[in-house]
Amino acid sequence: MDHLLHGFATVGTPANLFYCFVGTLLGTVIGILPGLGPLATIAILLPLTYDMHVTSALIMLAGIYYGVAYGGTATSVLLRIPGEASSVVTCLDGYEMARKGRAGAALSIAAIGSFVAGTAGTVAISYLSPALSRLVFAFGPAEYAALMVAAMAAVTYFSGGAFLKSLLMLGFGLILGTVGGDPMTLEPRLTFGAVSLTGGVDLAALAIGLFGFSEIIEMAGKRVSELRIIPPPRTLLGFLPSREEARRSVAPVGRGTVLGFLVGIIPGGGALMASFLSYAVERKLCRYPGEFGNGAVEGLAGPETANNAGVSGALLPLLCMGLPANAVTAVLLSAFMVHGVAPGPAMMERQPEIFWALIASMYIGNVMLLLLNLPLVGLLVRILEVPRAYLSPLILLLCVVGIYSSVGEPSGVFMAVVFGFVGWFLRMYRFDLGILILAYVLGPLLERSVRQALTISNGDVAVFVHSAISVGLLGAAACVVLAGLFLRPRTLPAEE
Amino acid sequence: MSEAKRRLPYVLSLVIAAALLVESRGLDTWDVFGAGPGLFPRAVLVLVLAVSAALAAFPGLAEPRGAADDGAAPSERGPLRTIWLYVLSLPALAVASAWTGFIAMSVGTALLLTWLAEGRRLRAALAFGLIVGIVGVIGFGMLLDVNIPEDDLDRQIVRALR
Repeated sequence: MDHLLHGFATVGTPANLFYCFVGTLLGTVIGILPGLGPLATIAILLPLTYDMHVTSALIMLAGIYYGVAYGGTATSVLLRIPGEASSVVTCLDGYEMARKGRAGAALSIAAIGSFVAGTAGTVAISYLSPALSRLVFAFGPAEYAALMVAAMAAVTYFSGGAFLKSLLMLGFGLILGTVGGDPMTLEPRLTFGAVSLTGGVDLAALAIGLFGFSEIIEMAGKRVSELRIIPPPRTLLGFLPSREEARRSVAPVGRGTVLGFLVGIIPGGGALMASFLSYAVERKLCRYPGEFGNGAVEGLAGPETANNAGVSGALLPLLCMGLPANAVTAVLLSAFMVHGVAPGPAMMERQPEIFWALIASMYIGNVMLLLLNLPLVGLLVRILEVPRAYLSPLILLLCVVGIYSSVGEPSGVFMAVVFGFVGWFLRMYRFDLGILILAYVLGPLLERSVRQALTISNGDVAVFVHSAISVGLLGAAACVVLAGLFLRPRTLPAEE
Repeated sequence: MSEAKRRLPYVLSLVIAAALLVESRGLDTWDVFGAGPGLFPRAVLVLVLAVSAALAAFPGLAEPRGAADDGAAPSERGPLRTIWLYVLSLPALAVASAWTGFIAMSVGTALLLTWLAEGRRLRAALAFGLIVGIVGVIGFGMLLDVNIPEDDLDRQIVRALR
């Protein structure tokens, strides 16, 4: 509790409050705008944070991550366009509620549910992190390698698309992470003699190319259609749900919070899966199943809560174990490392002020998001009325700023353009790009753990099956791989 | 989609993985410290080769259960000219970042996309490009002190404002 109060004191400074506000506002805007997702945004902004204090930088970047889930709701309810993949389900019943004149109620139920989930998730992280971190202290290099293998197997299994395609993306991501100087011997690897690759593939160039540039080309391929925005209420009273709507929301919000948080913790789980699962659960349990798809309150409250709880859940393994559960938290992991912070038990021991400031900022950030999303939603959604003719060049130029500020020379932009075309090609064939980024970030960590374990054991590969923890984790990974090969999962849209 | 098109990404990944494997042959699998720099990349490349070969031979393995042709109508596509101009804008941006500054790059992007690709008026596109370029130089280059492509025009503007 003392640590958390100290965290609040750190976040309570004008500078950190400002960065928290900027992060949550940016996250909301990114959630509204189809095209530029949280991953590309964090990758663009990361180089701009190099001169910032580490706590401020992480508060802002984390704010973007959990702010996105709020923003995606507005476009789903008012336009039937999901701003983010995890808001797809909200389009089903949220938009129908808006069509019936209940847009305000839909937005407030979603915002309040999101706030409850975000706050509950933050409370859970506050209490679970110390215990989970103590558990991770039992991990040596072999156990850590086994944990990462299990996590990557799970992410591959739960990804959008066929298992083998996802495995291919995982493989290429791992390979991209090895390009450049070997971390131990500094010998250049897989560079084909190119000097610009001796430092490795830059994260900004990769992420912005794969997600930003390829998305712009994909958007260019779509016919511009006129947007019809259902106007939100002009007064705050218009946002109040009726007594019946409020009563019907309570249980779905509770269930969505728990379900979403648990799913979020699972590598590959995340906000998208949480929202789909919650919709399925609410449909099963609802007394009025016929209303689903026609404006059922439960069909909005549950998934919207679950997707925010999933976002919080995904932060738990990142902060306690340094293990990202999805591509966006993988980029957040890179952000931590660039600022000289290694998330995990070491961070809680040696830099508790950063950890608890981040937790405290999530409490405050969720309040800010609740206040931002209700009164300002009408204004924020107007961003979508900016014509593509002006929005696309703006986004492209922002991407170039992000890449150039990270790499410092035009070779980074060239690299990003190549990845942009690669990303466009892969999207055409429905490959999940998120896994590639996650593997790219985790690959060097996995390789380091594997090499450390083999060095300690003098090259004896049996080191990976010496402890019950690593045997258990590798066994789980094997089961997941077999399940993926022979029991292919249903296709979900790829989550960024 | 034709059979050849279905196999294309897997054949390409097979070729790329094979090329990377050849490139890695100079790396030691084991060295005096233990596992060498070649161990991990080669292990992963063997996995990638195996998966690519399987998918190239049996592209049906890449379709999840219950997916493939569901008869859904293709989404409405925009004009081909627009798409190609957007495609062209990317290498143009890369070249511009090497040879020009931010303002010139911004104006060029606006002309290519706003004017040519999206059909807006030339004056509007020029004005938009200039404003974004100048705001970018001032905001990113001067106020945030971020590294951006710069040429003499950009530096003159910064000097004039300092």
